[in-house]
Amino acid sequence: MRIVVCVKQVPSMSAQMDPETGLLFRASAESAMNPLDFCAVEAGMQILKRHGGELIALSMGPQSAQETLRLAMALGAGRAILLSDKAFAGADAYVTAFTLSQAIKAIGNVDLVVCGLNTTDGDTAQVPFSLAAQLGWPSFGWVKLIELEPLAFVQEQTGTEARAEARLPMVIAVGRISPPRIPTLGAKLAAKRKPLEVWGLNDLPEKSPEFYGLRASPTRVKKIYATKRERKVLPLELGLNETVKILKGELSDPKAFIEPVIATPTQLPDWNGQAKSGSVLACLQADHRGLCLVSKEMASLLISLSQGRFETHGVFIGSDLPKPLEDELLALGLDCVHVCLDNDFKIFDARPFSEAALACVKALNPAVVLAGATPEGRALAPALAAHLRTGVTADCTGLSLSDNGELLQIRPAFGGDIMAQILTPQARPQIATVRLGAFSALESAKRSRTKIKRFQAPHSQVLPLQTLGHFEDEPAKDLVIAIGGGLRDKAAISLFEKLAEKANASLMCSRCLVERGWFDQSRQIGLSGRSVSPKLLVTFGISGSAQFLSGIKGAKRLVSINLDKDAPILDFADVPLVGDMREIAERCLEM
Amino acid sequence: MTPYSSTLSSVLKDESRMEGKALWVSQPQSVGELLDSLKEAAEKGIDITVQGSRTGLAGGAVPAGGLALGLSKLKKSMEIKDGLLLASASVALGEAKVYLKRQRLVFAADPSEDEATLGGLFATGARGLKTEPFGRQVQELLWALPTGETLLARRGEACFDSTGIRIFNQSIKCPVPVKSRFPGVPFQGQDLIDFLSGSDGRLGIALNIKVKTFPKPKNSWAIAFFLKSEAQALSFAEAASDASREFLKALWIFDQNALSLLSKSRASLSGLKDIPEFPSDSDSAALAWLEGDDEEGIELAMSGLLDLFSESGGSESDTWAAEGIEAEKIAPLKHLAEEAANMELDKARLTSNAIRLSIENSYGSPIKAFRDLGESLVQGYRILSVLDGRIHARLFALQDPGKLVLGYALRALAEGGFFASDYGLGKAKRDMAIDLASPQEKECLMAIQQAFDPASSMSNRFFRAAL
Repeated sequence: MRIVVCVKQVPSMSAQMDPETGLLFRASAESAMNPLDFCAVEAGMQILKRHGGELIALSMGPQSAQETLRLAMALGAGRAILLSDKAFAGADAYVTAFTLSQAIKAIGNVDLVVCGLNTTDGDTAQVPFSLAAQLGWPSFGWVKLIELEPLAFVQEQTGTEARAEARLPMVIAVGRISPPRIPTLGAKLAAKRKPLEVWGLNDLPEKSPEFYGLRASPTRVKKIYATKRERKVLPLELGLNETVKILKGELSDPKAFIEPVIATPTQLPDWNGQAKSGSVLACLQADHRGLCLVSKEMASLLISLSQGRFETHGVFIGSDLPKPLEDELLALGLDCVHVCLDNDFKIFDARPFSEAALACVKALNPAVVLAGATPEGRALAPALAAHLRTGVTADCTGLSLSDNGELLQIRPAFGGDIMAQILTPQARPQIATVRLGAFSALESAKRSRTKIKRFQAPHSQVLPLQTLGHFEDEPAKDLVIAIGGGLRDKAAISLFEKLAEKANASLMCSRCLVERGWFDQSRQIGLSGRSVSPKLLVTFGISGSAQFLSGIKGAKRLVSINLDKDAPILDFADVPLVGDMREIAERCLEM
Repeated sequence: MTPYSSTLSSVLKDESRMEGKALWVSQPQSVGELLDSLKEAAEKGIDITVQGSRTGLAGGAVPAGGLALGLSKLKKSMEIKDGLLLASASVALGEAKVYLKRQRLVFAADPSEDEATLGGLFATGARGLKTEPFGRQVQELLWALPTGETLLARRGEACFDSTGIRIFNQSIKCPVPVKSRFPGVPFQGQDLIDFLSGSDGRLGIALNIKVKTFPKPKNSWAIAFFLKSEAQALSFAEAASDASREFLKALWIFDQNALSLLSKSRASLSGLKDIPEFPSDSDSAALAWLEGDDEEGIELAMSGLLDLFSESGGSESDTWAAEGIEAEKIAPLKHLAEEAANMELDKARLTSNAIRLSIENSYGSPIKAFRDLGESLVQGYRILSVLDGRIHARLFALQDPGKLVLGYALRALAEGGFFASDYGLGKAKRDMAIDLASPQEKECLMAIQQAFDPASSMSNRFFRAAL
């Protein structure tokens, strides 16, 4: 089996960006292999060990990325190829995937491409799915388990897990699997002397520079800016008892809540756009419980963005449309929902689903397409974009639509201290993903006007898929307790579980506890997790990265406890408390 | 100064898991407020216990009545000038490392608890993975005396000779030994700054320090060698420590219990999340740290280590090697063992002396001491820094840990080693140190205490009672 593992060199610490070009100054930061790419190499090595063949590490980047490729060779790759050429510079996710697809074609006879699901710098999770679409191969993302004989993969989906047997050639994107190996000393030393291939434009089948780099990239960073912090209240450095008293008051007295305000999408100044188009479209998604909440939120968002200027449409792809689901679609308030039903669409599969969505998009020619930032939506959007040769902006936290139909997309980047405004100046449609809870679902008064139209779409063969049972992704309660990296000891989680139970709260966490393997990702708040909109959010030991903060915009009241009085989250909290999270929780339970 | 109340109970503990008591608490935000607190305490005869981030393992920050004086709220500042980091002592090590990293600089010494304050590291004489103590790199020091006055010490300006030292425009007369055996006892030729480093908050407080920084070495490597027996590990360590000295900056041996503890803590300890399972049948491990600018030289040194490892019975497939930023995954194994030990103790809720005592001396014959200690340990683990003879041993559930600790202290001293070489004396070892001190050493301690702290507000009951 010929396996290609895509690896990327990423900045390992605070990166700086060029405010003129919106591109990263790579020289300003130490570099390392993207953490999930270690898992990709590990997955590739396990498959190689069982099935034999060859493992090739592939990367695109500056010459310094050779270090990352040498590390991949030390981990077991027999061959390494660096795509490095001035023509490749400044590529967005779509063009990066295009360039990689060209290299894979040039390598030839590749059976399997393994990627890390996302990278720590861009965090878009688009490249694997765009790459598969551009190769015309099936893809399977969010892989959490690999079965070696027969070769099969288990992935996370919304509310379920799915298993697919390999259908080669294909692309898989792996999340955190077992801790990846560390190279042996002999392998590290040997990798330094192994030949490494550097390929430029002329080594790829498509040699025209117009298909590569910044000039070919559909998306452009219009502007980047540091997130501003304005302190709401000075952090309260009180004694333990006083802190606990305040916290208990917040937890027990619903009158203390600020009345919820119906959240609307971030209001952004209008700007002058160029293109015109008459409709906007949301890719709707359902699971075994019915229409997903993020779909309702997207419908509300489209209605709000269009402000009557654009027709609002939805597309739903599935195997059947039971009456309750039909009612939910009708209740969205969109002008029209296009429904494609086929027995092949029982379980999400990025390639055929994106082909069905493509048929709808081609018929409708919308200015904007939105998808939920769910495992399914984040696979569908880049695959669809690849078919349309357009770009995707992942995980937007702000959107603005001009009269001319141009979409200003805002998302945090590079650890969250920076916000990026992104445009898709030429290519259409403009595609963005939005996370659950980032925008509110509103009751619609237009139910009676919504039409449902059915359509059929040709599509590729689906993967041999099966679901492995459903799990209830419990919606967050009105009161959410979230814990973060300040928690040093896994055993102390039980303390917060007891506190959450006592307060009838949902217990959630920040990203670092998921990375430590202490929590499932379904309980993660933030850019790569979910958004929450509780009446009261109490955070313990969470510093407050912009990624986390982007997931709590909907919280009506924020109480934050942190030992560090300079923790960013204390600037945003309605009640910022300085103290030891464990002591406060212990005392809270005692009192 | 405010009276202690139960709302401030966190000031009674540190990472030693000891718990003390306090009558007063002060958390000054400026040097002026700090000096006022010192003066007030001295005038009122109140004992002072200084606290940084309370991360020490010897109980140095655990108050024994009197005033708990916390420094964590002092204003923080950092600046690089002429290769020196000018920092307030309240800056946390992690903050300083990030600041230096942005400028591609590092400390020569590398203590590993990032939450510890620079002042705390200085006060306890902390070392880390490498052999260099943090305080040895300090070039200038602004020191708050227990009287509330300040002293500016510059390296090379004041050193101990056989009759004492001249500071504050006066001579402190005492019989200074040729070699020091305890923190707080000077030796002839010792710089005042090095003496104050390790004085455990008994003679004053570091306010600002100027500490040497170095350009980040072009190459840095962490290598773990796993072996099937302790004998193989020690044989490898002996051979390795004689070779590669130009680049080898640290070499630690972990015993089987240390590896087991780390394996057991894998699910709970965040630092272990990227560490795979240790190779099967590993009984012991050696952790080497190499650094330098000469890439070819360092690779040659590593090849040499690999040869020695094979000669000691090791298999190349039982090694882990990581360089640059990746090396930071493996290097903290020693620190993680300490964290894992504390987690075990928290789980067991042990409160006896067994958990409060550790052996962390330096020995003239470290490998023999390490081997012997393995035979006498009932439960616990051992880690050995081969290059400077430091042994760390945590003792669990021993009936009479004091006897074992005392035995190894005597052995360290008899071999010309050092008692309590890493974490300071704290409260855990102070009585034992006084018991072991010679009349000459006691005389020296008393004279210095009288000069620095005439009201005995910081050296408190420890010296008053014992001397």
